[in-house]
Amino acid sequence: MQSAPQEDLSLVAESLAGNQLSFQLLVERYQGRMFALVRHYTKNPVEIEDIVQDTFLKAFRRLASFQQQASFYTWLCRIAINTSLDFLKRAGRNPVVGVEDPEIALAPDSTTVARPASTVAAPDARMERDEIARITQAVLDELPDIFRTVLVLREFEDMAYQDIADVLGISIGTVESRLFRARARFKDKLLALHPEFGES
Amino acid sequence: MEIECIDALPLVPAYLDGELSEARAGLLRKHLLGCHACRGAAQGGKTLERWFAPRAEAGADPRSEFFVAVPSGFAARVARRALAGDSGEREYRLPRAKYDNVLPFVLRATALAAGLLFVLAVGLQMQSRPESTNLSAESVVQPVDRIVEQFDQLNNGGVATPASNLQGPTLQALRGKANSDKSASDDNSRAGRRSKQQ
Repeated sequence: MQSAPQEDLSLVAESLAGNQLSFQLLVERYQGRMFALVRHYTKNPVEIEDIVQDTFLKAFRRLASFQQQASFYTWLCRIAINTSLDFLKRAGRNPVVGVEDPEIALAPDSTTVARPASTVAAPDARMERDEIARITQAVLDELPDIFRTVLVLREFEDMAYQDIADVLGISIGTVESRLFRARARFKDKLLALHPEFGES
Repeated sequence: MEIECIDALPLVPAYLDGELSEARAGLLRKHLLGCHACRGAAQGGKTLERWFAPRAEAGADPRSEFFVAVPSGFAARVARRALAGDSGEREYRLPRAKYDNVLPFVLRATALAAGLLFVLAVGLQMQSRPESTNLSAESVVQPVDRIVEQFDQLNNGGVATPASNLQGPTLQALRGKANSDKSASDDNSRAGRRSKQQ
């Protein structure tokens, strides 16, 4: 687990004391990563700005409850993800969540376990980066939130399992199984949307 | 101690991520050495990285559609609002739905139509009510004598004649006939009983 950098702790303490400049510096430090994180949940720039702004405002309000054992970024991620999911819920988007019971989704699935994981081919070397990124994002958008979130934190935020567990408030064992299932779901969706990437 | 494929496969992603404890990684390593299928699955897990990496790169490239630029002055604005007491707990600016303007009109029209229907129903009910509050049947039902008189009129070709001057069977005649028929049948039944007794 990463410990909060000393600069963050100082900025948090000064913000709590009512120093506007210190909080502005904290926001500037993490705003880019927050915008990139929230981009995985909506592509509308206005919505992204709203969600990130509310993330920081909520963080400021709860600054006193920030546990300094965790990193400020991990703590901020948790607020951002909850705010994003709350936004999607209010907007009635991502209906996949509504029909999927997380317990069912996480229950042992013999077909997922038994299937070899090598059914998806790597993208064609001639494909452009943004073309691959578009396909990847489209597949991610189709995944239930619990799987999309764990993939985003691991694959794009490069978080350690313990940090993911802290952000989502789950155990490391759950992170392991959820990631396993999320990757299997990703492959299934990729093949469903683009059968040409199947490997015999 | 050895593990089966069904236990080994879920450990593969964590192993590839370098997140397994040495004890569990050792068990998996031992299984992978002897299991061709699980080795194939582990290799397949590596191909996913080639799908995720381009998306991660695109998100950091300002020329890419996946890059989101932070609006200028964002941090200062947020800090100002935070210190001013904005909690961030508010309704989001949701995009207006396509039929947002039509919906109020449809609701108003429906309410108006419902009101008109109600007024119409009440009016119809009022109209079908009897004019008098006296609900006695006597004023409606004609006496039998009068009906018989009307039959007689019909029998006489529609000529209205007083009931006393009727040439056809009058009510009294009909009643008399009915009485004589009844007494005759009584006599017959008595005679029958007597003959049986004898």
